[in-house]
Amino acid sequence: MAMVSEELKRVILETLKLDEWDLTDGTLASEVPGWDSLSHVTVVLAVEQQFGVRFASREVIGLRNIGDLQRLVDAKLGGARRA
Amino acid sequence: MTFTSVEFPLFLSLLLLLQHAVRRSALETYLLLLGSYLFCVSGSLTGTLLVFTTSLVDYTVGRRIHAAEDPGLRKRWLLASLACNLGILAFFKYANFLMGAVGSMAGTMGMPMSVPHVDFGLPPGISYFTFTGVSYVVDVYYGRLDPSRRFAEYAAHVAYFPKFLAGPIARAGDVLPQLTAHVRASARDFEVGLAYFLLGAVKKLAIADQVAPHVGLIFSDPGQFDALTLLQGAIGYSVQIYCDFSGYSDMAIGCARMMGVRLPQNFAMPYSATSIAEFWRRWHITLSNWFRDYVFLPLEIATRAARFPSLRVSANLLLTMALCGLWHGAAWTFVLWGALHGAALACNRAWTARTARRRRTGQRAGSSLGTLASRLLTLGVVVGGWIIFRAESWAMAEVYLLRLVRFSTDGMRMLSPQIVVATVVLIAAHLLVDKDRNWVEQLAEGGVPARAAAYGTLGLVLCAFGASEIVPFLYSGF
Repeated sequence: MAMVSEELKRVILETLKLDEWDLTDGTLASEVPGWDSLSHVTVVLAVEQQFGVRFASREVIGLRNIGDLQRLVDAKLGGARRA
Repeated sequence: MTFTSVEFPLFLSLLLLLQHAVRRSALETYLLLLGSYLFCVSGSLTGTLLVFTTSLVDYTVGRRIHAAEDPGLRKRWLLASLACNLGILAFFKYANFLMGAVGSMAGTMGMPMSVPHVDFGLPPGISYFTFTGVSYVVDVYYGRLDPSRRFAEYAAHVAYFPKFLAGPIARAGDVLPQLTAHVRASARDFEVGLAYFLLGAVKKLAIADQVAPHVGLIFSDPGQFDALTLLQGAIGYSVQIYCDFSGYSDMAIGCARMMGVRLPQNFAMPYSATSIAEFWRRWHITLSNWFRDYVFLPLEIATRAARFPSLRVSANLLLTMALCGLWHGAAWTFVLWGALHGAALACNRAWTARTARRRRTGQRAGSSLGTLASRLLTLGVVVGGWIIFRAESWAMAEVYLLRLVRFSTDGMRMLSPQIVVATVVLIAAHLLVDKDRNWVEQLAEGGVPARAAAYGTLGLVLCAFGASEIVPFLYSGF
């Protein structure tokens, strides 16, 4: 189980223009206001830019929840930049 | 054979009885496979051979992708399956359209050429079983689904007769586990299934087929009718296509439920949507989800580095919806209809992005007047779109739309009691029924008198108003 970093939370909330929302490991995109199919890739792109990583199409399509996104970021960074 | 054929109740009853006799044995899968293939054969032998071929290819490809470790090999298997499914679809559905487009293009470039017209006949269910195959292989490729272990089970899922002709486009991840587990229908499942089937039959026979002749008359020559009649025709077609297709979906869901299988919901009061985005979350839900997951999102991911994000999303919406339009039929009117919805979705996205923060933080609650205006605007786009969708050619659509917009008073005026009554019934249903409730499911939990009254009323309506001339299901022709 991955803890969701403050940095990841912040970039998601800023992209979705949300002031506050409880983002946990098991939170699904569909549970977050404004996070739908139209904004999904915009969020992923913002995360890529924030952490300086690049996800493969297969990795993006395989995301099921925020925990998956955190684990993907961690894997790309090698666990070096956890907040 | 379709759900409204006289032999269908006999076919379904026999299958249910045999299913009960062989329950909880491996024979159940083969019985379902046999029943589904008999249903397919009754429509077309070519179609049945195509279902078998694509099922065999996709099953084999699914196993190969799962077993392969080399990413390049996995991709080649995926492309082989896509080429098979989409190639078959293109050959049987779009050959004349594509050749015509090439001919027109050559003509405009000063190189006129004669284009042969070939008629292979459209195999029933082709748009649905090819999409079912594509979603299965793509899901296996992306690791979202384990491949099916037995060909008979996979083949039974693809040809599953309740959804074969016109969906819902149920995915393997939803249906296969139910088929492999040999789920049993409880008494409640059977009752809910019958209620769905009865409701679907009322929508189809007592509403859609009653308005169909009048709508057909108005659309056959829009130039000879005045604007009020044309408006009536557009609203009538909106009623017809909803009741026809959601009626079919209800009957499909009902058939499967009587056998204990739950198919995904395909409609959820779409005309009560307050935005075009919400409309597509409520209209032909399984198709819009398919295009979202297998066209729009891959396009978005592939183009995410594009410089202007808003433009990227809008362009991808436009392309996805134009393809969605083309899926409905090989004609430019369908492409235009899809593009209109794509443009409307892009406008809606731009508008919601502007107001998002205020809405999400609760600073601006929507007024009831605003909700009504949003609903009417959405309906305007949807009904206007149906005119392009239904018209036999762009020239006919142009005449229809121009006469409507100019509010032409010349021409014949016709009043169709069927269209008026059906529209009133549909408006009342959309106003009275909570759009997020599923009353069929909830009714089965109620007391016996309420259930008996509801089912009795539906039966009476069907007997009293069911059309004697049955029109083929509109979406089985797409």
